[in-house]
Amino acid sequence: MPILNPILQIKNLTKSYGSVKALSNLTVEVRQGQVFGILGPNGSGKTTTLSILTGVLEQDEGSFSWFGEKSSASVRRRIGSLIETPSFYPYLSLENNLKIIAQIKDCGFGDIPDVLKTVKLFERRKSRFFTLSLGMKQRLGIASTLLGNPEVLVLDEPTNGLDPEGIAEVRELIMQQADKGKTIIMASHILSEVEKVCTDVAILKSGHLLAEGNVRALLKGESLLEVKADNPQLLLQILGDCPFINHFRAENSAVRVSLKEGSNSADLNRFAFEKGLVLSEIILYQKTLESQFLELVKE
Amino acid sequence: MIKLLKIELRKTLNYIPFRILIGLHLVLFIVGIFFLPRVDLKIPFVTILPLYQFPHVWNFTTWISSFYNISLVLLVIMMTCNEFNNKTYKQQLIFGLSRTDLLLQKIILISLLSFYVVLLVGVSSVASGLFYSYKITFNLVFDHSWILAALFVQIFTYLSFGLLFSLIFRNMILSGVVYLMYRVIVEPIIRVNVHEDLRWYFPSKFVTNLTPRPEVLSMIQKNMQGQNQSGDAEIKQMENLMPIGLPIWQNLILTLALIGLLMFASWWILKKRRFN
Repeated sequence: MPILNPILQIKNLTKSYGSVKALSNLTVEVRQGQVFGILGPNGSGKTTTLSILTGVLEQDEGSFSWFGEKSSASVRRRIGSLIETPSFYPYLSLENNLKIIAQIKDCGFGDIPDVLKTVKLFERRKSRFFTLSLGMKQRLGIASTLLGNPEVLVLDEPTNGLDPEGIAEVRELIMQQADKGKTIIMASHILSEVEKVCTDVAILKSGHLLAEGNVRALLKGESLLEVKADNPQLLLQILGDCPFINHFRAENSAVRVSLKEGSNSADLNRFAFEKGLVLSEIILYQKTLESQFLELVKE
Repeated sequence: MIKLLKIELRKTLNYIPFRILIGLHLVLFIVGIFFLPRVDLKIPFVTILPLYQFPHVWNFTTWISSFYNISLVLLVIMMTCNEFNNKTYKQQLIFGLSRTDLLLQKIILISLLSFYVVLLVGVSSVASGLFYSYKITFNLVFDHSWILAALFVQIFTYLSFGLLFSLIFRNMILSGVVYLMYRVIVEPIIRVNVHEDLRWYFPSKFVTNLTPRPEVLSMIQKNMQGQNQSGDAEIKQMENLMPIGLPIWQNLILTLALIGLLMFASWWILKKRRFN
């Protein structure tokens, strides 16, 4: 697989609000074509990160570059960004709002009907922004990011506040754009969203990077079992001798076991039986990003 | 620059409260200028018609226009605070304007408003001058027209004050109240408590004095009928009692320096402002 160009390089980015450290030494790289999720609970520094990257905030320390260039207004015109809630002139029509953005981006008005059709708002193009529902406003926000066909989209909680239908529509839109080869950087506190949409993920907590990597690799991980037996002492002894176990840990009356790749619960059951122990209970846990995430943020 | 002008025009001209306020300004100005002479005719022996004749008309219309400046300052405050309320400053930064561009947009707005006032005063001065003057020569008509340039600088300065206060407070009512309190209460109180010679160096004074007040008393006197000549000297004396202030060129230098200061402060605030 060819090594793709880095689109965004972040080095030691740090930002404090008074005594509160919102972001601490964040170092991340996003490459062309990735759908990069920034995952973290509320207050973990996701919006701070995206605000710095899009010129709204200035970092205290560290640096970042887009397309190998230092960030500037002209670099930002090559990026379609939606940070927090979409902000438009409430008294202007959708068309006029998009015309202002097109003028800022020097991209002409030709794209406006297309992007409005993409987000299914073409019929409402003459309506004033304040007359739109929350979901429509969010869709217009996404339409505005598509103007000028930018190489990169930066989306902060794009499904925030939407109903299930709206969430599905926005996700669909993001995936369509990803299929077109756009690089997408998306912040979210919703794990399932990141799992469904992103190729890569960085997990933040209290401004610190906890983990980063390919979503599939993080998901694949190891299989987890919870096992019980009438003789716990013997169980622990047998597990210690078992060759296809990564590690195990006794928890109350049960033992949590992590199996090596390629082994399953039947193998463990057979191994224990051969050693003269009948397992009274075996529960399989599929390790998800959620359990990874919860484990990480608990630490 | 053209791009910023187009953007500013789109968001300003489509804003209905802006259209209403500009419309009101225009109507009230026209009423003030063109209906005053009719009122004047009802006062026996006194006429202010010379104020509508060349060359005095330039001073007079400029002076009248200054009463309406506050509505334009409020317009600038409204348009700037709206950008904060609607979070559109933040949005424009994200889409690729620089912080300096955000300031330039509003400089364009206050330039356009200043130009509008100059145009209004220019057209109404020429119109009433041509209508009321008995004698019209090129020199007489254009002798005092330089005042339009001074007027532009003057309006620009007031509007720059409004812009700076909006960028500091980001709230329409607060910015408007602070502006009015500064002009009507704070500066006058400080002024009366300093040495007489220093009073001309306060912003409201040297900016206002860019367009000198018309010599109303002596002009009215000249047209009083049935009065003896002895009143002439008395009125001249009264005019002399009124302080004149600094020469125009000094006012101009001070005002230009003030504009520089206001613009730098506005730029610095926008540079440091958090937009989230």
